[in-house]
Amino acid sequence: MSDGADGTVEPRTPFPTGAEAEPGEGGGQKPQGLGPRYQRVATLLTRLASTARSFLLYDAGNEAINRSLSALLDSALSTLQVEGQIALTVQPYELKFEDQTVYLNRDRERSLAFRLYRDGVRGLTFRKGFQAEELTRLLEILSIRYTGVNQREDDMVTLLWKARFEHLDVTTVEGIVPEETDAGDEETASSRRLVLPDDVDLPRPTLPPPKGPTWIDVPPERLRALREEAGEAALPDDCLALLGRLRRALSDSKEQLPFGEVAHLFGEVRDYLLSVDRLPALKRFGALLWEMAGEETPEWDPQRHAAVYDLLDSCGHRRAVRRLLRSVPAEERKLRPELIEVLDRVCPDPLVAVMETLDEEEGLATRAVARQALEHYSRRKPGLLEQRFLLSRGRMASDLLRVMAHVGGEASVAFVAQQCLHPDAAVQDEALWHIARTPYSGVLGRSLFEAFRRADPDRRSRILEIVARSGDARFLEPLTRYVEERGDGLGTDEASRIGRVLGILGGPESIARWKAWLQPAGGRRKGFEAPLPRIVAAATALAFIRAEAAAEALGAAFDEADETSQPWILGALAQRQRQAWEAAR
Amino acid sequence: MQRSLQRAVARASLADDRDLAGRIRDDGQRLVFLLNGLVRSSRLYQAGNAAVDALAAEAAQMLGRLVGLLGAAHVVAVEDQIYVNEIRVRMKKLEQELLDQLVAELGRHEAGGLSFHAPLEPEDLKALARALAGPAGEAGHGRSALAARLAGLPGVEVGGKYRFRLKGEKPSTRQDAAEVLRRGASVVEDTLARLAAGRLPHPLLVRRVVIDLVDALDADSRRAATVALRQGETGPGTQHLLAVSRLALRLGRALELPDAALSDLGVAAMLHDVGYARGSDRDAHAMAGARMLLRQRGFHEGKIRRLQATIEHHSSADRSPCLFARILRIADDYDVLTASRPGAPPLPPATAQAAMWAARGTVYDPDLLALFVQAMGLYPPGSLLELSDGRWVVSVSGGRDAERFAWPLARVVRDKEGRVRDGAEEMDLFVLREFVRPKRVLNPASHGVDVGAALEAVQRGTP
Repeated sequence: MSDGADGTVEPRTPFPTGAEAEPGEGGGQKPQGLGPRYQRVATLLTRLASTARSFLLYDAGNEAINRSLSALLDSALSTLQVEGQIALTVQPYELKFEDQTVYLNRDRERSLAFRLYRDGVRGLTFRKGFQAEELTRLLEILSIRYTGVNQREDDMVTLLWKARFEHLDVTTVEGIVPEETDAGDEETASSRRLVLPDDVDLPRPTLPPPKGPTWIDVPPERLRALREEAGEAALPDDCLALLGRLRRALSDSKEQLPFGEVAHLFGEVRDYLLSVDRLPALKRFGALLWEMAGEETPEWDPQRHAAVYDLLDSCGHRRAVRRLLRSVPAEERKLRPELIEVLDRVCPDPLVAVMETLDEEEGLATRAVARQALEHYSRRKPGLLEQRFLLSRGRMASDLLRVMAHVGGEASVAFVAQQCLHPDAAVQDEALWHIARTPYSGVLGRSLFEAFRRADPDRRSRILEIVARSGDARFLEPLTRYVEERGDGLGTDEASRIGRVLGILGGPESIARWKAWLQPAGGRRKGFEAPLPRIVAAATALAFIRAEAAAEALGAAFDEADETSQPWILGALAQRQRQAWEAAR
Repeated sequence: MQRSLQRAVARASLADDRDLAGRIRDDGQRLVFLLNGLVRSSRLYQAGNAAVDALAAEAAQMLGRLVGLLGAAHVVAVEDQIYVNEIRVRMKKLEQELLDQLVAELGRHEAGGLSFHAPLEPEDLKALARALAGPAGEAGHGRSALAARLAGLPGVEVGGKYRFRLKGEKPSTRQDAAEVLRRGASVVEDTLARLAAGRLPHPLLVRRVVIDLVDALDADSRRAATVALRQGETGPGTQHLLAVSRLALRLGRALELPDAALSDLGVAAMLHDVGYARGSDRDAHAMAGARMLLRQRGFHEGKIRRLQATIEHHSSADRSPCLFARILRIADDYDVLTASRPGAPPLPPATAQAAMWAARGTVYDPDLLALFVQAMGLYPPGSLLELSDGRWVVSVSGGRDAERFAWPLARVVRDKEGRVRDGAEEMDLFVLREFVRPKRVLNPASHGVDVGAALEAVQRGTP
């Protein structure tokens, strides 16, 4: 180590240059030439750092984070199984295991080692028994990168202390690591202290004549109730109580407290309450602001009204609505009525705000709830929804279509059906999904068939299902022409699917048509005149017609079939048999 | 696992503000760019030049925005990087030179950065730039020389070079309550000075002391209960804050508050009387203190409850103040009644407690006071008792349990013959209850007895 005269010390190992070290993600460098034990620990720490970095990027239900967590846990458990314990020394940019560097990152913002070191952590020892629950708690702490930005309440040391790990020991230094001082500093430091006056809180309180005390057992339920006052559940009420108290101070002519001094606190409480789990408190917050907005402006604070109105407006801003909708738990899909009440109260244009959130958000729960909110609001302004739909693409467009389908009911069926032809695949899928669940009507017919012609095989298959269920015989001709036009270009699987529909729709009256497609080739050779796809379609059609004549036609076709077509004819016969058995049961 | 993961993500998300960090990164980058431009322009142009004026005006606006957002802006230069409130400023390759220039300018003055606790006018920023562009002070005194030149600018601090002190660090001595309280005294007084000077609150420094104090209480509650700062080490005001913190934490532990809440309570206790730091009187100090603490930015449950407690800590229980305020009221009044103050002789601890008991349910939360009394015992630590056999003893334990509530551990300070003793001899009055009992509570001041000696004997671990 090289010692500075002032007691500062440079790290011993010179940092690898770019040529020497393999760069890792986020400024990290993979230490080189480690033996298998150290490599195992190094891998664990790299995983820990990268999982901590991505911890807050995803929904808790997201597969990526869950996979990452599982891999990290496996790594931790297997390493602990072998090592018994992992004792790490924390240095400014490195973590060391038995004096070997096993983690190195010089980016002060991203480096796990630096953040620990800066806050005063000097050692971490993982012991056997460290499991999933503690790992989650540790990641929660390590993932908070920006708490120091403005809170100055907690750091790594205090957060690790509060977590009270059973299988993770944390070694820290006393206080905060001081910066280098220069000659003028000591004097400044000592002159910087302030002592309160000796008569603080005097005169003493006036109390009744002394008596007792006695030992009184406090009932457990009272203790529980007291502890709950300091719990997470009580915090929204505490926030509102504080704001209520400050509101009184704001009106106190002796105090002359300008709103500007407390505005940021109101904003912070607003952001905290913007959660679906705190809707009742958020409503009260909105009500408080409305009341304040109606109060007289004191002469010492002429800007107050404007500031309060700005705050009120901010509750309905896009950012606030987005925050609110984003707070929907991952497993939730249902819109809470209180959410609508809150939006009505604070948001001047909830329809637009919710639409914009839907456009930006990926989370399934957020989008599900946002769609339901849109359904509620778009009943008042259906035109706006359609306008926005026309300008949208992808997932947003499909979401809007879903909303329009729910809101419009029967009247929207035609519009939805048209979207089967939408250039956007997501919209086509959405349209098909709705049509599949909508009672069939003739309005759907043309759009469906047009969509069928243009769609990819997967979508065509879905459309065929819808057509089959429709029972609309008007599809018979177009589908028949489709098969004839495609000739050999039609896949046999698709031909089979079409054939099924042809049989269902055509019924016994269509047997003659399918027999015509099964015209033998003639002469001595087996086989048929028509191309294979047409044969397949015909055979399948006959398989799904409940008539003896169809069975006979299939039987005759089997006699004429060649090697290529025989399996399909057999398949059709087997299908008939299956249906007969099922009918018999 | 899924549920606990969701809760963990939700809690962490609440504490981690990436949107804000993004805004700071953008604004910080701009500020650094402007500051560098100002410094360079100061060398090239005369004061009053329009280009310099424009830069200064924009820099003032940017700085005002950051200070408005954060309360204070800290520009820290480390090696080849610059951080604004711990967010690294990222420049494009071509712009890196600008960063390097500013780092170099600060380095010339042996400074690691600048902190801005208030917005500055354009003229002030120009003066700052001229100071930075000017000659550096003597080696080893560069930073203080620069600080002296900037002394006239409101709210500007010059930070040291951010190095790592690997030698001279003390491992956390969490089990020694007396040491922790000594450290706490200087942290509290430093915090008060900063608050009085209009700086932002920095509760983290206090919280670090609090968590060490909690650990000390847990490690050896008996020693922790009897620890007292020696007279002369610090003034009554600071002693009061520390005593209230210790008492509040004991009560919080008796209530079995979770550690997170306990540390919040401790911080609230240490800062509850900051209102006096700006000369407020008893009636005004509560709201004055809250207004000082309000400057802190960022949501934290500790801050919310601390503000509530600061405002309400003199409210009676029957007016339903918040939990922390009710706890502080008990701790606060107990200390005010029992501490020695100029012109206000202390009450014996047992008498003070009895007086508070008489107001149980009106002034004091009945359940919290019951817990407090359980923790302190009928004869709280420091109570001077005359025993039935004539000996004088000082109680050195709190209430151990219901059976021993009225029978503390005690140290002999006067024997049956009236001779003064040094407090080394300890007796368990519960064990000896068939032979001797407390006869009356004495006032140490009236009898010229220093109970501190007995308490110190416990600290020394004698016998």
